[in-house]
Amino acid sequence: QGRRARVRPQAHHIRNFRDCEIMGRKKRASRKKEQHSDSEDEENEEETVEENKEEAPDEPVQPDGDSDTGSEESGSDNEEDQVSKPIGVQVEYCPKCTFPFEYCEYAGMIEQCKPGLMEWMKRKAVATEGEGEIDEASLENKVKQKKKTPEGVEKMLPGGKVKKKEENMVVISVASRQKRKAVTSITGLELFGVKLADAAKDFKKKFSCGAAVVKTPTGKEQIDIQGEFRDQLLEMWEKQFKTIPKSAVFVVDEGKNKVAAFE
Amino acid sequence: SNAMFKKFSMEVVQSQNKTKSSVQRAIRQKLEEQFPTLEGAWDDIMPPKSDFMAVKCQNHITLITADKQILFFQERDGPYSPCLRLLQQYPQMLPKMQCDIGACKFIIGGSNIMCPGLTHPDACMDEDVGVGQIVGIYVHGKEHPCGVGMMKMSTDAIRKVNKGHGIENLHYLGDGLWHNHTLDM
Repeated sequence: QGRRARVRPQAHHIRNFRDCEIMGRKKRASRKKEQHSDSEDEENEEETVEENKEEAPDEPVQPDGDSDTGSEESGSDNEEDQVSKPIGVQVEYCPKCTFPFEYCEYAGMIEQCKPGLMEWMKRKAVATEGEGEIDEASLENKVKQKKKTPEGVEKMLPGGKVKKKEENMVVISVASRQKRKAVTSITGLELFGVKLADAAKDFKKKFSCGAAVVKTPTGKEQIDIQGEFRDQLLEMWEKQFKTIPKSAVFVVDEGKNKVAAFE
Repeated sequence: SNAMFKKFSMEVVQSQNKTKSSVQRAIRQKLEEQFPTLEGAWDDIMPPKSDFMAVKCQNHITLITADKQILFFQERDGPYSPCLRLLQQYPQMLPKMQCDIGACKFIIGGSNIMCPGLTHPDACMDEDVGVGQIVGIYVHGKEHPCGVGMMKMSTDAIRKVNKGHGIENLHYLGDGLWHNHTLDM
């Protein structure tokens, strides 16, 4: 442990502890040479070099030959080698969303990130000298932008166009396939953050039937359940879809009208 | 393949055995060859006495871990890709492919990168690379990478054709691997 303590943090040409050893000993040997006679020092140097080689396996290097990769080559040319070791960047991660602070706005929980994010932006502004107020304004913008999306489900297309706001409705309808068999279709679940694949899986389990996620001609997706489950769906609504308010659920009745499902 | 780490948890892990040191050495050598810019830093990234494991997962994915931290992943026998957290620490390890800011939302959603996102005036392709090269995905205006991808078209082809998928998004900010980056998940 005493040997390790001698490593100087800024000595980039030193790659490992063995290099340190060699460097230290070489320097001491050369200093001694200046002061004393030559013959004595050569003996000393040889001894120390041999000692070093014997010690190599004891050093904290993998016993099965990892010493091949680093130490021996560097031992010979370490004094000339001026390549600095790449040092890892210390990234600051937001404690709330786990993303680097600059990406908090994309994590979907900007409100929680905000306090930490504000502080980070201030620290950055101080470091880059005075962008202060502008940063706060842009942060407010980011927060506002994020607020818009979940409610109205405005789809921002890459070109910057905005799709028309769609009403938040869940529609349950029953159609018939093959005379006596029916299909119950549910549209609009994804507007409330429900993952269609998972929901379809749950329906399969609950009703012991086939359920699939299907694309409608309009491009939206709906869940088709094989069989007639309109009423059963309404019954299990509370348990299954806690997040969807009942007022947003509509059922298509005989007259092809959308009627509110829950009174 | 896409959605590689969309869902990622201990369920996906099939076997976790301490790797033989001969295998360890082979893997370390392969990594050193693939990422020459990290020369000298390997002892920091994978300390010699760390608990090194090559963990096998579903869909022919192998994870390279040291001290329970997932550092690299590999599909079948393909090239190794660093975990995004590692790339953010050592950005020099991969070529930088920068997209325009509009693509950021989609990258974080897991989608691939289309050519127009890379030929946009704000975009920048640092080096000329060929198909199959692992690259870091950056976004204009952000310092750190938000994804790790594999080139589906060469940089040359991207500029000429400017249509279709340019980079396959293997691993991105907020995916399963980002959140579960240690083995004791």
